[in-house]
Amino acid sequence: MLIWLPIALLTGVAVLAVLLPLGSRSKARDEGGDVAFYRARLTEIEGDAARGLIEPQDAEAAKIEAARFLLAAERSGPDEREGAFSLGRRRGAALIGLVLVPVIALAFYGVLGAPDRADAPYAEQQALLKTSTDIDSLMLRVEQQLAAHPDDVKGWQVIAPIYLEVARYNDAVKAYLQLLRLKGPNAADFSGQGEALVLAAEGVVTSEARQVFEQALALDGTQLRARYYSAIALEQDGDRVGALARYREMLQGLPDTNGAAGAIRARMAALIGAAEPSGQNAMIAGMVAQLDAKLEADGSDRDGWIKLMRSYQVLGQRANAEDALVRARKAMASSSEGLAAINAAAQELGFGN
Amino acid sequence: MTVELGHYALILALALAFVQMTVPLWGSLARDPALMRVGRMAAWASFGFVTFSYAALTMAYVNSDFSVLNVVMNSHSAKPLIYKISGVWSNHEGSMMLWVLILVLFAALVAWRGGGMPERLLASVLSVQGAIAFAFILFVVVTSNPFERVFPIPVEGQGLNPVLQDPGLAIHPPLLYLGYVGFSIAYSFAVGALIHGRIDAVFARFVRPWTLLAWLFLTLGISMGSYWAYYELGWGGWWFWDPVENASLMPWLMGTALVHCTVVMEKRDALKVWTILLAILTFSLSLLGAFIVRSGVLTSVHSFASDPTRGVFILGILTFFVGGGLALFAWRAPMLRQGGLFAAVSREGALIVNNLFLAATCAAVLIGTLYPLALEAISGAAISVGAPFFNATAVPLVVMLLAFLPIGQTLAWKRGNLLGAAQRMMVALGISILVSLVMLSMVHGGPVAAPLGVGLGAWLILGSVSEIMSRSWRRGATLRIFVARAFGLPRAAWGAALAHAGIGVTVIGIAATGWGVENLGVLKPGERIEIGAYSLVLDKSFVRNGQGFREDVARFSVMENGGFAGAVETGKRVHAGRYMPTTEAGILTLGLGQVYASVNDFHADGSVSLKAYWKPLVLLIWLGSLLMAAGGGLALIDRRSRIGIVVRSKAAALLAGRPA
Amino acid sequence: MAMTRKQRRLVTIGLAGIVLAIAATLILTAAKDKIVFFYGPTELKTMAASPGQRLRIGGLIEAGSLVKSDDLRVAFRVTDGTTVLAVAYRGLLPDLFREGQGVVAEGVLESDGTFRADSVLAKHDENYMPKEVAEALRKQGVWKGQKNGATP
Repeated sequence: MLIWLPIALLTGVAVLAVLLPLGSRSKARDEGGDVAFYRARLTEIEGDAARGLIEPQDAEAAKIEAARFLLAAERSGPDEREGAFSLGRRRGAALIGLVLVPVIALAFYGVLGAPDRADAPYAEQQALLKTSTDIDSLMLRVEQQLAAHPDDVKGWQVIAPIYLEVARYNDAVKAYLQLLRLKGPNAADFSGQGEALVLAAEGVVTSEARQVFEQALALDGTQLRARYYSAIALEQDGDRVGALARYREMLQGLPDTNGAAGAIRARMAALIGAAEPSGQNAMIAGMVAQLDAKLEADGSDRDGWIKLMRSYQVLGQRANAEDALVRARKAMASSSEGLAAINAAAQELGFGN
Repeated sequence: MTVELGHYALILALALAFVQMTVPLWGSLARDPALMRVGRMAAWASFGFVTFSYAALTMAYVNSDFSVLNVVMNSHSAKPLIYKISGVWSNHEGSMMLWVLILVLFAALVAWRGGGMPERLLASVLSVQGAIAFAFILFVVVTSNPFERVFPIPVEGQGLNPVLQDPGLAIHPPLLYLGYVGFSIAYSFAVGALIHGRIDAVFARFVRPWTLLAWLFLTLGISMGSYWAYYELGWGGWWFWDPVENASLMPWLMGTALVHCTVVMEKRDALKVWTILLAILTFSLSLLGAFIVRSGVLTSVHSFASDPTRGVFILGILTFFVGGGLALFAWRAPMLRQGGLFAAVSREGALIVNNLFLAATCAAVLIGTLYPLALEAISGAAISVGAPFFNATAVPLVVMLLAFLPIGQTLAWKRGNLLGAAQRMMVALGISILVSLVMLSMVHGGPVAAPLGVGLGAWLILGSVSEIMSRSWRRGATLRIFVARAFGLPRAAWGAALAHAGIGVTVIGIAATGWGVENLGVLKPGERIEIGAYSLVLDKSFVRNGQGFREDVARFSVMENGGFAGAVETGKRVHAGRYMPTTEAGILTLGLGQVYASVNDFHADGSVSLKAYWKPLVLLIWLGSLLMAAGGGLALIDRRSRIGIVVRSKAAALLAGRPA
Repeated sequence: MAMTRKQRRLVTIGLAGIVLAIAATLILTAAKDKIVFFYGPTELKTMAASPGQRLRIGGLIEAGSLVKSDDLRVAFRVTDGTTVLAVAYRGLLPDLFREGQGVVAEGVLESDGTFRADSVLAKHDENYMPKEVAEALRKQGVWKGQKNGATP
């Protein structure tokens, strides 16, 4: 592959950097380092004295001292006496350069490197992206547009429902929050935010979502989505009668052909449909029962317990949900972290404590 | 391919650092010049490779190559170019790359300038420097690799952190690192000299410029960092005694001591053992600083990387180099030759006092920083050691040191005359006391410490002026000779005077904070809030959209005696994709003082709650530190401290005159 | 000049001793008076701190407990899941001050059991949880670590 050529080249340079000095035959420099240093100092003192920078008696004292050090340095002689030449030593050092450098480098790079990966500069990646038309890249383009211009209302309006569609509920919440920031409080976007919150909580109308729907309804009492989810909230609280009343109310203003009307009727049917334990509900009930049995056998699955509580809540079986909470607490007694999670979930679902 | 080659070049530098660590040391012990010379070549080569590697990483940032994990996490295609470049070091991995780059840069500089050094000393120094480089490159490669790739390639990066997009933050880490890492040279010199067994004035002359250089950068870095925290965090303070700040202050204190005692060692061949110890301790404290910041053992406003494995690795490096250095010191130091003699009252004696106080201050800061950690480990109690502790310990120690500084500065080498020094300083002292007294009587309110602090600052400045004057002036000399002599003084003397005067300027700035006024209130448009002689009137609050953010802005007119003095704007910014607003403080500079406004809340009824400060003379704090750095720079370009060149040329001249 | 080498050394050592003594005195005094202990609400209740002593407390700001008045007076409650502590403060709140978030306050405990804070801290990172607070909450089994703590 192409990359191995420059890698070989770089390695060659590194090896050469070690071998070159080893090959030189020159002797040690004869510096007489100390002697020169103290001589330089003597001239320096004389120069300073001549220019009147230091008092004559100071200069004399300094000179005497420097001279003393100079003498000592001359007596001890140059320190740079050379050791005996040894071919073995140079070979050893050369071996370090010739073998160890490439081995260390290639071993580390072999483990950590990715020689087959090409560069991927942004501009190139963008060009690749432009040519594709799938939903993901379309969304990405909108997202980039929004990152650059976070105040683009239209962009947020386009992307928010798409987020709901592709189940990116948390992003949908953020998108609706942006819309609320830009457009000011309005019923439609509050409803959208609420719906996203509900979907993010696996269908449970959390207390946070309920507050958002209340805000929507305060602005516009006819907002259908907000009314629909508020009714579901009642359902989940176990207030079947209240929920049914709300659904009926909603149907009154709707033409039969409206799609929402169908959804509401189905919901009502299911509510009344203790009489109709077939279809989806029955299937869910079956799955819940299975989960329940599993947790009874092995109670260590924290998320399982939360799911079970939620499921009973969604099925409107509050008594069962509360029973699940008691059992979960017992099972989690040894884990303070698990207990906290269970309690938090229970609080979110609106019971416990 | 550039990215991968950059990665490989870094790994090659690791291998070369290993060579640089082992071969020259071997050569030095066996007195084999060829082996010793490998050190210089290896230092140059690894500098080349690390530079290449760093450039490759920077290219990845500039081109927004999101196949590199580090770029994804810390950059964004929409970032301005300058912040893409500075973004390289605004995160843990990249900043360690910068650390390594500076480390090998200094090694290369030593190899380049060290031509006149005794060859065995140079080889030992490069070996030690190679060991430090090896440890840190290994750290980067193994625990903090900035070249890690990701797949699939994300379309956009995540690093648009608005707090990090700031010119102050772009500049101050490199300056700090130049300081921290610069002290590694002092360490390498000390340990190299211990291995080599020769420690004398020659050694001091070679190590001094590096120490000065590191000290200069660290001074600038700390000063810039402090100003950044002052205007960016919106808290109105400029020093918080935060662990990270302390981590930079401790090497600075020790480095200051080191700068002073290398002078003693160079001029007088004395204090050798202490100089070596200081060199080891100063770099150890730099490493400790790195450990504190990187490991997250202490929570701090600055800590941006908290990863236990990294902490453990750095702790390992710290233990090895501190422990190794000190062990070698304990073994070799007793063999050192006794140095030059001096009387207790002398420049040397004064510098010992300086060193003692600086070391004691550093110890106080160290204890205050680590005590909470120790106590929590032992008893589990959580405590906070904050400004009150440091104000009661470090501050009095520094004040004592500074009060004594002008006297010490004027003492002669070897044997000083305390009475003579006192006489020379009489005028300066008299004026300073007068300044304090006048301030005390004129200014009402504010703490008593403030006028005293201004007096201390004046004492430092006048002491430095007086020092230059007394060294240039002789009885009966004409003005021309006086000026000529003043300019003829060594630059190092001017540098010392300037740096000491700079401390005085900073001290006055700090003292004046005592007269600062702060006030808080809730204002409707048209209402005013008083801060001392000034008042702020809220003109309006409005919303502004900038590139990638939206800001609620409150605009104030600053009034002085009923006249308009200027306008300040302070606001809360919300950046795209973030929920947490950041406070933008508004600053209006009036003379050397500043009006500082920091908004807290915008209320529905159009009113604004804010905190406003009048900070008299506050700019002096940073101007003083710039003077200190300038003083260091002057000392550095003193012809006598230019390394290599001067020794070599003079030696050549001498040899020509009298062949050896 | 009459001093011998030994005497000089003694002077140096004496000088060092004096400076060290000054430093040690300052540090030890400060360590007694200037250090502030940190408690969670439960710890504070069980240890019965003497009113007037400077303390740091921390925990989560209880949802719905924040009351702001016109003159920048603020009251809120801090909880660790077990015990609740009322805090009174006058001044500006940090940017990150939110109900349900972690907070650290420094001040004194009044005789009526409220905590009068003179500084309130929340740091400038979105995921930041003051270390002491995280520790105190972990003791009470509330805090679940960074990952679960981040809001969606």
